[in-house]
Amino acid sequence: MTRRAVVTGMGVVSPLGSDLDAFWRAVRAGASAVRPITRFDPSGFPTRIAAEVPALDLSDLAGSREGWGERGAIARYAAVAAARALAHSGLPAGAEARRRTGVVLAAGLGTYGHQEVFASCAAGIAEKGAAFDGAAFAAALRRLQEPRAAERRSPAATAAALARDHRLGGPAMAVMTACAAGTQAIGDALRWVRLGRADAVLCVASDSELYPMGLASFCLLGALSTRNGEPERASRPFDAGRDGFVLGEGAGALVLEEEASARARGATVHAEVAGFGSACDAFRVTDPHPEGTGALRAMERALADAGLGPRDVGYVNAHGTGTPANDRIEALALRRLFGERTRRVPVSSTKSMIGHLTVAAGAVEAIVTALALRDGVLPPTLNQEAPDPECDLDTVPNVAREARVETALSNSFAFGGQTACLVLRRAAA
Amino acid sequence: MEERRALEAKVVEILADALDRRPDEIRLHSSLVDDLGAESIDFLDIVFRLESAFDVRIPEDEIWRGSVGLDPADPEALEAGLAGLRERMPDFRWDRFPARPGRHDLPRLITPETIVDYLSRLLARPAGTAAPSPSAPDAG
Amino acid sequence: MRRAVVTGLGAVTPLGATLDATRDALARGESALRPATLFDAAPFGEARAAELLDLDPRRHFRTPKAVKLTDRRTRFAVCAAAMALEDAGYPEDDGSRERLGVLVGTSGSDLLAPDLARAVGPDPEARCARDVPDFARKVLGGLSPLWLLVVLPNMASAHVAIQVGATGPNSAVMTELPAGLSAIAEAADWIARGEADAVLAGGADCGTFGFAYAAFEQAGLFRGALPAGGTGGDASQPGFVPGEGAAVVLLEEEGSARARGARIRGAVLGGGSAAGERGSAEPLARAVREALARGGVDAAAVGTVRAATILAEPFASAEEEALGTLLGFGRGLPGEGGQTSPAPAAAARVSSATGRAGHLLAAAGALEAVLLLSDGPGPGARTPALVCSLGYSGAAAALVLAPAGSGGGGGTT
Repeated sequence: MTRRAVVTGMGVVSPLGSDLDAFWRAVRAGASAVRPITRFDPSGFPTRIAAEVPALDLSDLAGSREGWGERGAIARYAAVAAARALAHSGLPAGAEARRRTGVVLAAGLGTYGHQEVFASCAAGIAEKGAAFDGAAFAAALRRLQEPRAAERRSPAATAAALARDHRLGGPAMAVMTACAAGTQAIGDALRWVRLGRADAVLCVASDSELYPMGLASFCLLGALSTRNGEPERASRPFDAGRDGFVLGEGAGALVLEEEASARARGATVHAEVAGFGSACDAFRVTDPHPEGTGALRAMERALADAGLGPRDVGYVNAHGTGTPANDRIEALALRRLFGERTRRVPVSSTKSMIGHLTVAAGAVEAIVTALALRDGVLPPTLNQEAPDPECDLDTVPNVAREARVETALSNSFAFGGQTACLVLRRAAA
Repeated sequence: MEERRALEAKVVEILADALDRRPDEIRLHSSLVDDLGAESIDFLDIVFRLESAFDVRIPEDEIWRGSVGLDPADPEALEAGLAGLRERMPDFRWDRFPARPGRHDLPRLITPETIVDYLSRLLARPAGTAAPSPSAPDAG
Repeated sequence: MRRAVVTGLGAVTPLGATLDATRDALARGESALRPATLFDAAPFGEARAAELLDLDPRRHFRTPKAVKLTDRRTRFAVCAAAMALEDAGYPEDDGSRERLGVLVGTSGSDLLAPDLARAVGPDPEARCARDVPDFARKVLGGLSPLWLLVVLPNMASAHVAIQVGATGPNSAVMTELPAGLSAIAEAADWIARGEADAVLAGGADCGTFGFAYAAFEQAGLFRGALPAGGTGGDASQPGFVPGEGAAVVLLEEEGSARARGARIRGAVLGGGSAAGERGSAEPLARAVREALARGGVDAAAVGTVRAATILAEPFASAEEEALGTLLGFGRGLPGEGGQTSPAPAAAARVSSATGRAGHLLAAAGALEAVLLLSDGPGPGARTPALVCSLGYSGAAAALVLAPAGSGGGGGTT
């Protein structure tokens, strides 16, 4: 008998707030969280806007806060989203009750202090054109390294902290397929539930690239919008005026449970995770395949995995970054999937509101998709002003729409060509 | 003329490094994209290498806007610009290039020669002034 | 149930640029632990490193232009994956490798300190570290725009896929040291569930750089080095010496592997993973229990054990405690180097290559699996084998294998 996985708990740390209901209200209202960067002085960068997470209210947060301040943003966001998702699920607590609860974490590159990295690196170059002085670099790094460096840089340490704090006795893994990782983590959790490796899985995806080197690394690639004068209008996926993505940050956490045991304990089922598909363009590192083949394969595989076809899909939460190439190719892949039906399938990008949460994007967008199915409201794509003929889609422009949808897709694609797609279904009453 | 030759040689050397080609595989009218396999990140890499080698600052996207002088946002100018390019680049394989190019097709027009042209203008102008558009002579 | 079998093995290690060279070096009792040459290690309290210096990666890249986009870890991954495919005699790429997936585990990324330093330096007052606009000006003008693409941890899996044309499922495990072993276990599940018919899976990593050593030193991993080799070889104490390299297996669905007449090295019976208290035996015990249970293997039946042992406390003791409690034996005589010494369950030994090859971080567990399967059917190998890896931050992975010719059903009989 097939084991199904359902979503029984969700938690977010997002630029639009870290209370699930408030977040969802803001998304439905079409709010934008994109603002001038305040976390550091961005005046030297071509991009000076982002979607920052406001200060967190942690008063409701149980569990260990050991070394909280030293853990870094990624681990803190993960901890908050995870605790809220578990509380939301009502999953019984305690080591025995959670003996068969696993954890999959998708987390970013790790937290590096600006001072520890760059003061050390600066010490390694004595004068213009000089060779790198490893000894001077090492001496500076040993002096300047902040506490818990190994933990801050290891998603495994964050996964272990989640397992420890919440006494999760099932399998544990960290995955990192860059911007596809949040979706990938949910796919891995789905597999664990189906195979009977776990009866419940805490899936968490967390990232923050909002530090000087993080911003610099995306600026160097020319990937970010430079519409600094109009932050709220900068993230415009599929619009002809799009000029890159806007960085966001945050975390999304979902509790996936085997359906029968979730129902047996009387859990509220918000949606079903019915299928997952993963693929790789195997083409180039940043250019998507010109025919959108990897994106198409991920969607086709996810639908096949769910035992469904393109005709069953009533909504797509797109990867929709707002870069010229991504959106054009994603639209092409959607046309290849849906054919003549393409214009009749609403497709929206949550990134138009909260920016690109990089590694965390897939998890937060899966949450948005689950809520859209549950409440019969499709979130909008903001800043739809000038349609791009190459992205001829119904993007649910600017205003949310009521629609009862049974099946939805959520897409995530990564630098490197990794593509991932989830099929979510409305929970049976 | 000698200066031009030296510039060509340096550009070819940089392109050979960036695109993992032997210098003798690179013709002045080779399309970086269609003949030499450049992808979008290679243009970033090439700009970075040119900036380091010539100690210049090349604004984002200018390597192709500046070197072929086309603005995809302006369809009329695009058409006129393409006509001018066809004249200036008789050796380019126009048969492979779409008649109605999209924005993403324009980098396919870049050749070592267009880069050399762009750089010689960039290096000739006084520091701090904007690079003249390569289509300016035609337009004027 | 679809079962995953191993049909190809590939490894590049500090002991040799191929699996055979690595095995030969282990058989000769060689050690790869030497004073570091790739970076200044000594200030961090461990002057040695296990470096992989004699590898020409370009030979294994179909598109050599891609090499500029790779760090050492990714190059190792591409080489080991290409070797595993070749070892398996996997059919040539005819553009239809849609059912071939890639899953590479890695522990983290080298930030490429010399590149960052050249971008921001010279800066004697370290102004860039205090003044963000100053930093922005320097780094935007002086750092290669490709930097992020080189350091992203998912690029090992991505480049393997690009170089071998694998358009099947693709992911990257990042569960620190156990990541490579975990990748093999998860990939077997991809095959079991029909998500792929074949997967290149394993670990690729690089720990030979300053940021890694600084973090290891701070975490206490260089304190109290433990011996690995009591007999012969290097008489000094190996301890935890970070290394670099990759070990990759080709997993195939058993039916299709047999149909194409592939040489079967062994079968994956079960995998497990867990996370918990740092330095405790408990996560490893849980991971091993899960792997044994999923493989339907009784602990008493396990004959051969290989572990990617961290030769530092408390991790070595935690490993010993977990394995001793579960399997009913203590740590075997060290000094076996890479050689598995299969033995009846009661007297089973734990062997590990980490004392001689260095700790290949996320590649270490995968290397133990590759070494185990490359030993072939030995006289005592008639029982299932266990491979495990405990990390330094509380994560663990385990894999139960049936080497070909053993009683676990992995053989060709």
